[in-house]
Amino acid sequence: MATESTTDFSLDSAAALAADEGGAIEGKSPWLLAWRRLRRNYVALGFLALFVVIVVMCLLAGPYAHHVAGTGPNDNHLGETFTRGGKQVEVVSKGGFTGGTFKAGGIPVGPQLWHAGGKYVFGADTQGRDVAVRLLYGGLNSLKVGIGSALICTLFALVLALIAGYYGGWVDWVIARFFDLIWAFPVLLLAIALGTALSINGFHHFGISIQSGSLWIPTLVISYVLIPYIGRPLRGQILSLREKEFIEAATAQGAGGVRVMFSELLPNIASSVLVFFALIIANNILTEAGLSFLGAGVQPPNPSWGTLIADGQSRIQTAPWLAIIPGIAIVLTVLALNIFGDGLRDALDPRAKVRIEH
Amino acid sequence: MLAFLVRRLVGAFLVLVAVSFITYLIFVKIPGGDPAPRIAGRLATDQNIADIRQKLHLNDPFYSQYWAMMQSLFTGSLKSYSSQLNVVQEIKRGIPATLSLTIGAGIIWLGFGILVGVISAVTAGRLSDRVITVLALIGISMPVFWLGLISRYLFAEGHPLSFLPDGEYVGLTVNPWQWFVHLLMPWTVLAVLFIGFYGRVLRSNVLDTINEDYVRTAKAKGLPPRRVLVKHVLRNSLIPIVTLFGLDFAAVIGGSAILTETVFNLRGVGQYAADSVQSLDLPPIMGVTIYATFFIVLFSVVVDLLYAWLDPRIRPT
Amino acid sequence: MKRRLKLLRPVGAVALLAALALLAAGCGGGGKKSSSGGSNAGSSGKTYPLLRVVWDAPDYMDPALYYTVAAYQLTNYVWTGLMGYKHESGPAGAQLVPYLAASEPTISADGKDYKFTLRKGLKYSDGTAVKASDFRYAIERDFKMDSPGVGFYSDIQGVSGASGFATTKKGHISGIIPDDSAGTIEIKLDNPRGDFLYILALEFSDFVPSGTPASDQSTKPIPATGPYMVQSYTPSRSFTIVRNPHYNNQIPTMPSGNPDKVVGKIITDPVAAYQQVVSGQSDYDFQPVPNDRLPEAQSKYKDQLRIYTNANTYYFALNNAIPPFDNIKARKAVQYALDPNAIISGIYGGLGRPTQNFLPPGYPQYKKINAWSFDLAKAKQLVQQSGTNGQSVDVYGPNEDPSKSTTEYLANQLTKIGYKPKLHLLSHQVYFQTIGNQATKAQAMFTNWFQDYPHPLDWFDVLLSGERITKTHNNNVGNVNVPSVDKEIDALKKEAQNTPAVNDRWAKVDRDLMVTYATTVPYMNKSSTDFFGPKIDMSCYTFGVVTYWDYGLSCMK
Repeated sequence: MATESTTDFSLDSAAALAADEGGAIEGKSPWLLAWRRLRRNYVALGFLALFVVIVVMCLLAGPYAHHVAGTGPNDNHLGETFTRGGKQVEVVSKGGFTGGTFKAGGIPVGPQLWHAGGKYVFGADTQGRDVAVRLLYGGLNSLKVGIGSALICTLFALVLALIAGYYGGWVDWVIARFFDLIWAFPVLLLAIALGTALSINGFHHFGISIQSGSLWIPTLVISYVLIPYIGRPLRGQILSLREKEFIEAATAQGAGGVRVMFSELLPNIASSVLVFFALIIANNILTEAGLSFLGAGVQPPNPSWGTLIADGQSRIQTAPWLAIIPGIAIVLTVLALNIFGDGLRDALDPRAKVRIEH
Repeated sequence: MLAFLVRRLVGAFLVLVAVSFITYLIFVKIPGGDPAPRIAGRLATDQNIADIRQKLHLNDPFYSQYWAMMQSLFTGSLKSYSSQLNVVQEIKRGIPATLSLTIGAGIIWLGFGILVGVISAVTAGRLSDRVITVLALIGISMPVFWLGLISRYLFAEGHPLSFLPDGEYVGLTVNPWQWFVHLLMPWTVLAVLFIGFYGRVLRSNVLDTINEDYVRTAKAKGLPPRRVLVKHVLRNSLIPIVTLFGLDFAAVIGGSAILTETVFNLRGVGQYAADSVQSLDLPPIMGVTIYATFFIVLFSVVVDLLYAWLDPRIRPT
Repeated sequence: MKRRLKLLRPVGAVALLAALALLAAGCGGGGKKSSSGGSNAGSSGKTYPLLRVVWDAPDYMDPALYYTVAAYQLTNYVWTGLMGYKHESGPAGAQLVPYLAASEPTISADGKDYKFTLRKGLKYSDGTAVKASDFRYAIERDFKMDSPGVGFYSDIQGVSGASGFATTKKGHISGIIPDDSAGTIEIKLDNPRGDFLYILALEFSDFVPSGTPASDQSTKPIPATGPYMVQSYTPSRSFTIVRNPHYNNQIPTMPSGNPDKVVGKIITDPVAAYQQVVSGQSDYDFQPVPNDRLPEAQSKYKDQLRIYTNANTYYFALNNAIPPFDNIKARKAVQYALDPNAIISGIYGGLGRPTQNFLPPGYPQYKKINAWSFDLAKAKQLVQQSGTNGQSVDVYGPNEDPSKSTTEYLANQLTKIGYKPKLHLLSHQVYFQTIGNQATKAQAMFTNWFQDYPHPLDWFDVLLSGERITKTHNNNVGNVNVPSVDKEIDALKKEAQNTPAVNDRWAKVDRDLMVTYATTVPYMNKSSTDFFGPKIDMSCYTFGVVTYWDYGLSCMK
């Protein structure tokens, strides 16, 4: 899985911007310039809007479940019926033996859209649960894991890279080898190994206690395995910055390590960090889906987009919507983040070679 | 050069040791991980379980258990806890499927990636470029297992638009044609992700290179545009792609292949790994982790060497 | 019973052989009784060159080790013991007949001494002669290899105890006295066992040549005594079974088999397995037809599909020893909270029959229980009355469908009646050893049982007797402990004959445990499928209670 950045959408130099606005090139803050470039990138902004809409919809999962669908995400409705156009419809088709004859059953009802008063808008699953409700709650979980792990991962990678880059020497050596080690591990294999092992009894060491089935498990696992993918390039940037005069100047003025790191080094890599952050959310949502698909991510009965696809896999013939719909949700979300992240990078740092890879 | 190689090999060895030890630590203490009752079965007597514990050195301290496991892995006698099958044999059985999948997909993604990247760069800013960019981004944004699942549903045997056989690995030596058609869909699905990605990397490299002085010089000399593109621009733009390809290829063997193999039921090493993790079966997990790490480390060395060869300015250090 | 969910393993039959739980209810009304009976000598001209099958992965292909249906259904024609089953459809298939023994054994009056005589001129597939001492060698090999079957032989003299063979693994088992020149075998037991002949029909009692290494020989096939032999076996990939060239009809009590060769592909994914048959690459699908394809199979390939229900019960175990289910009202509430029909329809695609009994139907001791109905309001009320409302419940289940969905259903129903369930889903590889460990403190569990013996003891004594509760590898996972019923089970254990009166007492045990004390929540007898390619002649379809689909009796159109 790889997310990349190149110059794709409209890229305007400061000069072009200035020319457009009919003025001379003025000394403007880079952030302001970036904002101006981004503002003109309608495609990126459009997809940002799409992402915001998806997030807001998932945040409204609770009210939707309560007021529209009238059922929780884990409530089964096996053996029940609902009304559509005055008729009673089975949520999951009945099957079994009547006397000597056998009838196959277990086919859940398909997408009803708005024909059943908000119930089963995207159909039901084999346990008679409302797919639309599970999709929203699943999205919420996927987004929580994706954004949460992106935050943690970026933060840790940043701090480690700053420490390594600033102190150098054996500190740098230890951190660099730590990055190398995780890098050498087959990422997905490490992630499913950790995810599976931790899902059994949770994690109860070093004064930290995480219950099995907690969303923290996939979040932390993903953060951990992806640290070097951000940490390594950031460390490289900091190492080259460290040679620059302004750092020497700051040190000469008696600035301490923490000060140099946070007020001199950090602002100079902030734009890269921001771009990484946007792109790694996309990447982590995909990783979460893969983990959950293999049973090592979000644990049942809690839904996530990955577990919804995994559950739908065994019903692809009789109930294809179960696997198709959550997949579309993932594609839209990840696509929105990728395009926006691209636009953001173009706006912030047109020459950056920012890449997240697997 | 020799010093470089020696240093890299020592580093690789240390990485393998560290990786195997971490894997061991992850699994050794989990509940239900005790293999003795699993092997003994339902009618097990206490005597029976004690004998098995003895046989598997389960009463030894954990470091000597680790050592015993590594020894049996490298002498090829390591056996799975749940199926009692020889781990090395099983990995060997899975390798043809995994390599067929990854090499085939690699060729497709590299070939199409270059094609797409060049077209996109040459027509930069035009409609074709934009369409390619959007398609590439969609490709990058799709979960590979979902794409596989949907392709199987739509195109494989017994489905609405069926024209390909359903996933299942047929040995190359058994029937080359069947091998090819059975792998066509897994290859494509795995490659889609990377085609978009490589296309975009190449496009930006080409665009950067076009503005380099030596390219302008070549153009100014009056060389035909096609020659400039191929000889000067493409050659130099491809160097980073080679690096990427080496690393990605190794990563796919130990990563995306797990999902692709599982979805298409190819029963390669990746699926073996996923199944073993699910059944908390430590010996095969160890085996596969070391196998995959070996590839990753190996390819990173190869990439460094290749890079030096392609770009003489760089000397491996 | 099998340790792994996928591995269903019936073993033997004790006293009753009459009606077994074979409810072959096919779409066409079940299979026809085979024309070739158990004692047919030849193959009545129905032989054919090749049978192509898709099979589940056998655990081993070594009679000392395998313990799954996948291996048994295949190799019951390969390795044989002194006794074996009649190859017939229906209850007759649970009858024992002498295989390598020339006739039924002579049993002493106290039931502790068995004398067998081997048939004359028996040979292994490599041409060497079968010796009486090979039997003792095979049993001793079981012990040396820590075979999962060693527990069956603990009553043979010289096995148990500090100086017994089970511990020392040296010398010989003193209770097995073979005489190679006379071709006789005498077996002495410490205690009489009514089921001993069935134990001798187990794969662990199959003859192997003396000197066969005491290690897994799956990939180096051990010479066979039956009509077929394993030609090759590649674990998790394929196998080939061919006729035994030295067979010469040496076991007239078993069919000599119709296919000349059986070629098997091992495919564990049920969808892929089904596709193999649909696309004509295979003639038989061992795997159950997946729910997703069942409607298609039923409409398009009706004649090639058979549905059967063998002796099994799926039930939820509730931990009777700790709150909240140490409270009978709480347990009754769970009974009312579940809708077996909904589980069967939704999660199993209809492949199952609802039940409230612990014993499967078909047993003469079975008396249908109809005590509960699906009633959430009543369940909620009972939870309130029990004072356990709002308590948390650790719910355990396997992490693969359909068991996973079934466990999710249970957890959700517990939520609906006022509990706070916490779901723990585990790999089936470690599931039973985890819930069988008291330290796990599981409170509600998915579990099931497939018969070893068609005898109530195999159900109530093994699974629900308070005397059988152990700290680890516990089979009574719900810690069911009703002393009065335990006493009755002990009393019934001594009954040699299953008279109607005895059967009634067993039925009362069932009723007491399921209704009066509401210890456990049975909900289903699971059904499964046999799916065939169009070339197979379904009029030969033979389904034995023990052997499942009998490929040796299959024939082609």
